[in-house]
Amino acid sequence: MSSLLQLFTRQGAFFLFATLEVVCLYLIITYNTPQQEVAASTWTMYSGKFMERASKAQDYLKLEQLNDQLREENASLLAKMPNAFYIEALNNDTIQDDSLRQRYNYIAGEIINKSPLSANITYVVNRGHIHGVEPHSGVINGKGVVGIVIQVAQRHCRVMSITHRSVRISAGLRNKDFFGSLRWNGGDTRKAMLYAIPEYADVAIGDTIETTGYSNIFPTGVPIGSVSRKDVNEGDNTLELEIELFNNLYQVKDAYIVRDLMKDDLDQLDNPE
Amino acid sequence: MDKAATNSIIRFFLLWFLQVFILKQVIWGWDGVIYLQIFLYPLFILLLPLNTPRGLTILLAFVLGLAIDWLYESPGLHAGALVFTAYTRAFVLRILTPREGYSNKDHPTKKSLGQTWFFQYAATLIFIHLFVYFSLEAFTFVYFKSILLKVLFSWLGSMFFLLASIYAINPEA
Repeated sequence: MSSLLQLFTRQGAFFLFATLEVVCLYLIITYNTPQQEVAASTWTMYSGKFMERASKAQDYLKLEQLNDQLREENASLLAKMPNAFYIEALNNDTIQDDSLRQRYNYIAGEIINKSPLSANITYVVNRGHIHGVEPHSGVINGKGVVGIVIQVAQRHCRVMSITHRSVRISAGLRNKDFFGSLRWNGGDTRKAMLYAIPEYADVAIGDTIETTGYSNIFPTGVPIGSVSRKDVNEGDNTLELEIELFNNLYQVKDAYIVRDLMKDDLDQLDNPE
Repeated sequence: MDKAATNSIIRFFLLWFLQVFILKQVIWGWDGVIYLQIFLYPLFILLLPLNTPRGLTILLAFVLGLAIDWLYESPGLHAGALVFTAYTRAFVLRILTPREGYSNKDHPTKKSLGQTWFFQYAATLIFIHLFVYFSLEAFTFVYFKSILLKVLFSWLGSMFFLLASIYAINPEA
């Protein structure tokens, strides 16, 4: 405060000068017509320029909204193209046999969208609620397991691939009775880990891993991958197997959604009243 | 009250009277634009004693400027220019300091500090005053050439009247 006062006393002349000049300018603009006009037009000119810039900046801020709007418009235009119509016809292969009761039914679909290259791959398959797809159904293709349905819409469903952190699949060794839990811990999308196989299990590199069917998501014996590395988990004497997946999850195209016809029956067991 | 103060008070009214009743009529120009005006009233600021406080100089300039504006019907115009001139007077004085510096007895007059010194002093400040005045009058630098032309003609005219009056009266303080 005292330094401020000092400044005022030392620079008093300047402050007086500045104040009086401002007063003079005010008087000039207020009471002199020509200067008033000049000031007004200058003001309008600069404010106009400023407003122009401001609106330009605002346009930049609105770009996102504008993009959304354009995307919507694009979508509605694309919806009018011939290839936008959805084929409702559906091929269900069902085996009819008296001694065999159908348990699994496959809904053929096509992967129409994939999440971008990243961890936690998800797909969109063009089969949905009206075709009988239910959440937690397994998805397979000719090579093996693809993923699990997580969301179902009217005509589409979202599938998380087996290289998704929240996937747990009951998997075992082919022709050997050991089974464990298949998980993916991030990183390489060509590899997953199989846990909880007892240490004494006779596992060799190259052994095939397949689904057990115990989780009621996949039928028994759908191939998953082959063992590529074998580590012993010292803590609980189990094996940690690195599995090389059969499916290249970035190149899958076909998807067969597994429909468990006995799901209700099994669910009754899971939830005893 | 010393002589310098009395002289200044007399000069204040005399220059004001001269400016608004006589010199206001002296104008010359062409194409409807006035290029020559005679401004003698800055002489009041010029001749204020060297030891006048800077704030007082500025304040007096404001008052005289408003008094001039009153009859020129241009509120703030002369006052703005004269306040600027009064503020810059200190800088001009510093630049024009004689080799041996100012003494206590010195007054910013021809008699006290010499003909050359006074001419430089007056010429500089009158130029500044006129430039600020005509800039404020135009209120834009779009017509900069016109401003310069007005400054040039008015400077010649004002300097003529100023030097003539100084030589005629030759004030001491």
